[in-house]
Amino acid sequence: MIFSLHLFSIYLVLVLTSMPLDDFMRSTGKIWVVVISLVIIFIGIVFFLYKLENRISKIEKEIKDE
Amino acid sequence: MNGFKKNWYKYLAVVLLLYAIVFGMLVPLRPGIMKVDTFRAELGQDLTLGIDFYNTRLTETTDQRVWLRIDNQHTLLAENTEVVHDRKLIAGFSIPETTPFSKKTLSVSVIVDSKMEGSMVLPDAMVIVVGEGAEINDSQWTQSPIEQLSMRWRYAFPWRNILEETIRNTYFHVPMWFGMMILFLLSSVNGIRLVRSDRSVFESRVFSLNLVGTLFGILGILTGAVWAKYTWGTFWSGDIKQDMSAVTLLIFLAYFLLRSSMTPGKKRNRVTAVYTIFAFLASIPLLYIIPRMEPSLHPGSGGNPGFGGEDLDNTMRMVFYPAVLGWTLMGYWISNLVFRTLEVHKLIEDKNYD
Repeated sequence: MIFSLHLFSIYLVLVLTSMPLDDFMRSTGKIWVVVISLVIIFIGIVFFLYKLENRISKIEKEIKDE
Repeated sequence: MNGFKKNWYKYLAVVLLLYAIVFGMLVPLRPGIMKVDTFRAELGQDLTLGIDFYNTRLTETTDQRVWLRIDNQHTLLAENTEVVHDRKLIAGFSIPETTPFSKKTLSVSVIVDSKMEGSMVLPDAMVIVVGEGAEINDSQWTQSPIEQLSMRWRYAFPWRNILEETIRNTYFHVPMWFGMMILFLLSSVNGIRLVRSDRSVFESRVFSLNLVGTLFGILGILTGAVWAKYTWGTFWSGDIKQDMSAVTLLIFLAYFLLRSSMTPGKKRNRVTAVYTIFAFLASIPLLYIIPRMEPSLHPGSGGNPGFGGEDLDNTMRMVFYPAVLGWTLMGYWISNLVFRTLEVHKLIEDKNYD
């Protein structure tokens, strides 16, 4: 399982370095467009949660300072 | 058990999203025709047409039949076919010297049928150029009608040219907008409650739901732009629905400006609540009525169904609706965290004043 994951990442690096980004995004039936969409949504939600955590930390500090 | 009663929708969100991501990504596409290698042929020509396929296993059978189709009555069957590999086929046609219509060019679709893969079509695949003074006679075009097409059901998503695998974005890009609208609807309901009762819990609800709804909208715009780049050609093509969704987001971004520019209190509660209700009401024509009246690249304009046909068939519905519900519950969960943070903040502020 881990071995195949390694193989996959090696494949990814090879493919990414050997062809322009546009061709890469269009390869394998444009599946990478879907992958990028999922990555955008994930990063967006994580960024939102990060900001929320900062806000909570501030409140915690306010409580401690009292 | 008590925890489950309170948290059931979070478990549901996780299960639905897992299902949507796993099935949305792993269910294969139906086989289809990607492209042909000739776009222009002439009457009387012996045409050798190379056809590239997607998700097919052509080497397993040799019963492929290939047609050029002008319309339902006028078709031409390939005289020979040769399988190159699993996803490539070469078909030989001898195009008649007569034309069925007195047009300068004939637009033809390519249709391929085999028992193994079912029937596949590439609409407007190529044109046949009709020379000056070609005889109009359709007898040679009507001898090989398209018949006995194989039907093969499989658990797979539809093959759409240009879209290809990105049809799966239906489970990630579209639910962002559905989720956004549901969150804004809930926010408007809380806005009405706020106007009626002026309790600040509702103000917190309105703010947190608007915040997550706007996040979903921004993510919808970004994923849509990437999708558009690789299907329509550019990140932003001035499509009416793209423009109107940007307008909707600007209206809701103005809510945050309005809220932060007023001092907390009764007046702010009422103004922001009424603004939210109007913003939600304005977003309905902006997103669901105007784009349908103008020509648009999005499905659902110019009279074609936005919600059905080949863009969303029954196998896709089995993933799409759970995905919409899952993303919406996820959004509600996040907005609940924002809401609780606001409420806790208010509690300690009240304490400080006391």
